[in-house]
Amino acid sequence: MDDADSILQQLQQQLGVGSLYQQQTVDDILTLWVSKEKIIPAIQFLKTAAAGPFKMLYDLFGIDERNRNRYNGLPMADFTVVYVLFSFEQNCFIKLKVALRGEYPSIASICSIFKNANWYEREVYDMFGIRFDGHPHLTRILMPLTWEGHPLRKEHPARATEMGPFQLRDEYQDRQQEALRFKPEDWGLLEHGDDADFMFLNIGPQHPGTHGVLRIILQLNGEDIVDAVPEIGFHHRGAEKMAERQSWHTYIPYTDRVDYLGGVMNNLAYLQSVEKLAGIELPDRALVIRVMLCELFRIASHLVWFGTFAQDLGQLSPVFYMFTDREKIFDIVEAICGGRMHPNWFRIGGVAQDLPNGWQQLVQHFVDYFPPKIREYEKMVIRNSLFKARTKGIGIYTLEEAIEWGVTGPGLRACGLEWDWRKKRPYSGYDMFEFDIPVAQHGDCFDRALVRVEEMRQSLRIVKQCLENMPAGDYKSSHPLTTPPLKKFTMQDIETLITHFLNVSWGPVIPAGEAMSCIEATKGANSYYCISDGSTAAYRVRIRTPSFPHMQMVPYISKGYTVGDLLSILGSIDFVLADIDR
Amino acid sequence: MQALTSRAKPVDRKPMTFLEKLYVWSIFKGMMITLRHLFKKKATISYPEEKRPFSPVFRGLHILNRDEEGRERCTACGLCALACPAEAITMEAAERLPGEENLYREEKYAAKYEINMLRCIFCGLCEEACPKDAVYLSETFAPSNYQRKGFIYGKQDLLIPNPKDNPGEYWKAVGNRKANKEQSN
Ligand code: SF4
Ligand code: SF4
Repeated sequence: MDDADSILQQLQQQLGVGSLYQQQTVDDILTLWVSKEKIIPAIQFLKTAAAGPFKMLYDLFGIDERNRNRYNGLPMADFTVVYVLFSFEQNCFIKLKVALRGEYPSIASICSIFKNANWYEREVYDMFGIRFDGHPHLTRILMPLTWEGHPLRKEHPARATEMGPFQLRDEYQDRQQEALRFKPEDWGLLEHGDDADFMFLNIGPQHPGTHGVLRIILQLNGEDIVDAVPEIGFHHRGAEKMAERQSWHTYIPYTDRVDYLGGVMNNLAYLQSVEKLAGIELPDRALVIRVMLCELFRIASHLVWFGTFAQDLGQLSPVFYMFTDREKIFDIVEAICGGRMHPNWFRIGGVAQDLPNGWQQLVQHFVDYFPPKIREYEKMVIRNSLFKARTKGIGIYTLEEAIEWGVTGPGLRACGLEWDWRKKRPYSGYDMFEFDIPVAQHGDCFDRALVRVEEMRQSLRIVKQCLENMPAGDYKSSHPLTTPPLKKFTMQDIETLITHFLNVSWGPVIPAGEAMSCIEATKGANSYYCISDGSTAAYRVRIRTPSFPHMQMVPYISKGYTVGDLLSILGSIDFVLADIDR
Repeated sequence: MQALTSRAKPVDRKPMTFLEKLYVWSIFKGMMITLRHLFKKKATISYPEEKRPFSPVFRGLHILNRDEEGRERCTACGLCALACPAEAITMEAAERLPGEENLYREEKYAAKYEINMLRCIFCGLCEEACPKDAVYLSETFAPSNYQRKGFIYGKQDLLIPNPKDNPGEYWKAVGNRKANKEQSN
């Protein structure tokens, strides 16, 4: 904690004594309340001047504090805006919180300091109605432009059934139709340039190259991209709002659906932070089972990316072979979890069931089967000169740009930074495993592909180690908050039966507090920031997904390329729309 | 938007050699791979004539269990309905009357028990919540239907055959799942 102390001192010197208030959180991340006026200098200082600067805006989100029943001496606030910054030099997070008063408060925008604050601030505005002064284009981002209300405010209904029956009146329909009319000015695009009239092209919402419901408005000069505006939100389901309605336990199935290619990886990110709040230590067996499943899902997700990427670039066969192999992984997943893409298999304090009989053979078979396949695919796709021609030197960003835009995961490692959360901030026992972090230097589409292919090999190495060293023991912790408790006792003694009843009906009561997790998900850093006010449901859950900042960067890296190149760029970014919109 | 760096790395667009530019060799190699795969074992099956086996823990359509004597296990405690994140289960409880001991295992039973398969997300939390091993997820998924109400499964659809009348079907319905569960517990 020495680092944290020195940062605190530096900040205090900078901003004046007494302008900071430190909050204790269970995740050991320095959490400071800053006054509204001081937020710009504070962030400016942390980004540029501090020793070991915080170069990345990791996350930015709001909290509606009006229903919170326990302040525990924290500053009074109606709304809070939270800035999470990360320093690669110090390997350290910092959370800055700003308390805002009033029904529809406003705060200064930090877009001029961090490029990627743009979308985050729009999201906070969309979800809470908090205004950001000085924001270049403060409009809704996830909800439709005609939406009334701000969904994450506590007074906004959580279910459609609370809103009364829907009626399609004429004027309503006209308003919706009018909102769909495309006016370039609304998107910040010019119709005419100095010497050219631009053409506008919609890619999506239904287009095979967008891998989901995403619309990209392209401003074209000939075939060259002058500007691009992604429109997201088609896949927005309000996962964060649902967390406030479900119990801690029954929210787990919803996390599956955030990055639907990552499966258990979402469970893990969520449970990491719940378990931090609850203070649960996991038995070794549970940890290793979790790691094994995560790595299998990483391979499955990368296979989907690999196949679709090749398909985007005109190779139509590989995707079929890769989906066949992914099916082999799903056979294992199904035998273990009972589900396939939505395994819903991790539980607070462990996993749902022990591994089934004969799992070793299944995994062993895959471990033997897969390496020649990767070699084949590498030969088929990566070494193909057509593939090279369409990816080398396309969609380049440098390391500084990557950090500025909040890029994590393979996209960051392709710029030469050896940064993997599994190694740098080990969680769930990843420090017990041997594996390498693949890095590449050029930061173009080709390198991002290379990194991912190599990652599949490394994941397979981890799976193999899990297979060979699976510890014996319990698959669930015996902590009282483990939900549901080990069932073998449930039928035997009344104590456990009562706990079982309470935990699965009301749900476990997680102690009040705040915790953030950070895991290396398939696409980059995935975090769940859980706030409990000591009840059976979360007060607020913030989901930081990797795809959101990655998508935000697309216009920046695709300018000047052609439409065909845009598809290489989109493919190489590897996003999932559900992961962007949540 | 100005660039953050001057993007020192030049875009590598050097013209390819004549042979590479033809791409004929690459295309040919790709075609060969595809051709080779034509003669490999098929990865697909001809559904619905053929069906793939599901794993014993697969989370498909629900069944309501009976014990070996054919009595319904469910005691209408409502835990499954409470545990259900999708609120797919509804039930009505009733007291067992004298003389019904051969029908219901406990003094209280579910007079009505419905699962809406359109709401259900097949998460399996109901199965996990049930203290009586009464509700299981089986190894099939819901067949298609023409109307929404066809997806609301009542007790008749969910209850497995009575072992007294139809022992073969009963054991098939109980399946490996029971054996599997016992092993893992
Ligand atoms: S499987 Fe899940 S969603 Fe379906 S009825 Fe059971 S608890 Fe509800
Ligand atoms: S199925 Fe199980 S959990 Fe549901 S009411 Fe019956 S006994 Fe209770």
